[in-house]
Amino acid sequence: MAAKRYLVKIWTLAKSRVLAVVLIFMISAAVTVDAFELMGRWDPSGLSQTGNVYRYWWFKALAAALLVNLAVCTTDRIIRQFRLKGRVLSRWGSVLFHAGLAVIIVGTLVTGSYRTYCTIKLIEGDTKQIPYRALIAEEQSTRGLETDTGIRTGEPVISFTLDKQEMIFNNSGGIKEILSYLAISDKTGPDRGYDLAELEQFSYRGLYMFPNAYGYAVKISARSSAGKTEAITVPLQTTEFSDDIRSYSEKNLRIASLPYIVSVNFYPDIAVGGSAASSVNRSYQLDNPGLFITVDNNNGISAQEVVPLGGTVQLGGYSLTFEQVKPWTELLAVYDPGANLVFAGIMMAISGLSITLLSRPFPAVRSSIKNTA
Amino acid sequence: MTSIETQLVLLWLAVSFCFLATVCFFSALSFKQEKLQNYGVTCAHIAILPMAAALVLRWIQTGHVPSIGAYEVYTIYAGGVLLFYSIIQYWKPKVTIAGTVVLPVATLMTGIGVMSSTELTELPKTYFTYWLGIHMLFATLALGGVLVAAGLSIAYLVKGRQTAGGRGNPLLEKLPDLDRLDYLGHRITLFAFLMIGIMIASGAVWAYKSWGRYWGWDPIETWSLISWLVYGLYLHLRLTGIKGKLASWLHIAVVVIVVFSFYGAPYLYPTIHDRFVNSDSIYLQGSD
Repeated sequence: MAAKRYLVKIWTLAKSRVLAVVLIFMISAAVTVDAFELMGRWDPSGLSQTGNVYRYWWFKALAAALLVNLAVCTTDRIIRQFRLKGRVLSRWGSVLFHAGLAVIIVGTLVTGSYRTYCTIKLIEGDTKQIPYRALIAEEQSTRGLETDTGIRTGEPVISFTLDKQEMIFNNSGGIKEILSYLAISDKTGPDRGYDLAELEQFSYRGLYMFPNAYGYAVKISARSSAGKTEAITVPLQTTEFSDDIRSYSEKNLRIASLPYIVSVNFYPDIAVGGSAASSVNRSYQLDNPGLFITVDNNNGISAQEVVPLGGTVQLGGYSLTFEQVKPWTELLAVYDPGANLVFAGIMMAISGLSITLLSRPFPAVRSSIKNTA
Repeated sequence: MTSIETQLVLLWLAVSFCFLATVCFFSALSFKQEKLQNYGVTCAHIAILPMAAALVLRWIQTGHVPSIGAYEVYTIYAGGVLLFYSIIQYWKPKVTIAGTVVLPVATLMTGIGVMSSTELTELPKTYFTYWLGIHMLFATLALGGVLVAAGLSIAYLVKGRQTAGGRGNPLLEKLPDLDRLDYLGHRITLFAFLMIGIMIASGAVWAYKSWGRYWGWDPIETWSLISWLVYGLYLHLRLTGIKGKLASWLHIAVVVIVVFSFYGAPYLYPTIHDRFVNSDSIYLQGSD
């Protein structure tokens, strides 16, 4: 009997409104303090932030306590609703709302524990074989999957190919739209083809993917006086500025057979001025591609030259050739098993609150008004 | 006359009517003349027309729901709040007095909007989605609900004070009794709570579609969550028995937090919501 009494006491505490008030107050206070503290450190250009309050164990514990409160309170209300003769629709609305909130908290906790994302940069014509485990692995979330990851026998492997990338330009030569034609296969079925515009999403084996960045990759070959040739393909960094201006560059490239450090800026449609440094890009169409090469011999800049496609720059006993240019598309692959739970919870909560608002008011409220009237 | 010039003329017209309505509402309370309050309501109704016309012109000009930069944001919020007030006032004439709070705020918002930059800027692709419209619609409704409920809370406090002091103002006497007023405020607060919830939810879906994450602890996201939590706290406190005067003061404190998250936070933090107040913002999230 004593155990039952304690259980009833725990149940009563767990479902109490006072506990809900205390927990909501503590969570609100923690988030508010964090929001003020956030002023000094929030960087909107970064995807992942560090040091937010939600990362602390005690904040997760508060969320878990609120989840328990919501679950017990909802269960208790459902039991009472079935026992009551005159069932009130607005109370069902409240039950649905609180159940929805509980589902949202579960979803956010799942997201916090399992969400990962990675980037896959694909150069036109290239194929990348990536094991499924690598796509959803925690350690991949901070770096792009640039190279094929070690594949174990028998594990599911997803093959990504960028068949073609097409750019549509506006009248002033700016990029209006970029379309990426992708083929994806995991050997369990036929290849799936996707024609994707920027940020156009698709789902594949529980992964949520969309193209989120574009650029150019250049192939440069270095030839020494001894006749040794080495070629590298570099996907250039794309930097976007306001007014849709983009630049493509890569700094401090090292080619094994070349005793220099090379930096490149790529222009899809170059107009060379009086000197190499005054070159400008006329448009983003590949009309007259040019590579602005800066060579550093470890003591300072030793050469700066603009090289057209197929052109060569001579550096002492070495020569550098701009061989090829190809576009690349970067896919963002997100694995978030909690997202659907959150969205389901949102639907439940909104429906519940709408029912509460649109149905007749709580009897307690109505009777209080009648009594005072 | 260019589209921008037409918009500005229409908006100045709207500011004038909003200002007139504000004067009427305050005069009605000061001189105890119900007729003046009715003039105030008429002016508020008239103000909607030029404001709606200006917003439609802007929508046509930009190709998206006006929501970028102070000019668009303040005017669309003011228009939405006015429309919401007019609808709820028509449906429940007893909330007419809330205009004493709603109209000065609408005048201020339209005034700030009309004096801000009207320059057009290129937008990232993430903005060309119907989620922008949904997000803005519910943000506007939330603000409308918050302001009307705030008006009722203030009316409750003033009426309560006058009743306790034995003084009478015919306008306040025509209001429902205190319990009914409290209850009306509670229902509208519940409405605002729902609207803030849908605003946050639509923003979360939009963010997931754009960046693959539904929550990023962006300062404005965080402040909207704080507003919603504080509203939830207030509603729970009411259920635990807090009502009347204390509930009204608590509600006014909650409204201050909500208004700060709408208008204060975007100016204090670098945020992906910067575009709402500064169309030249260059802060981009991910692939923005």
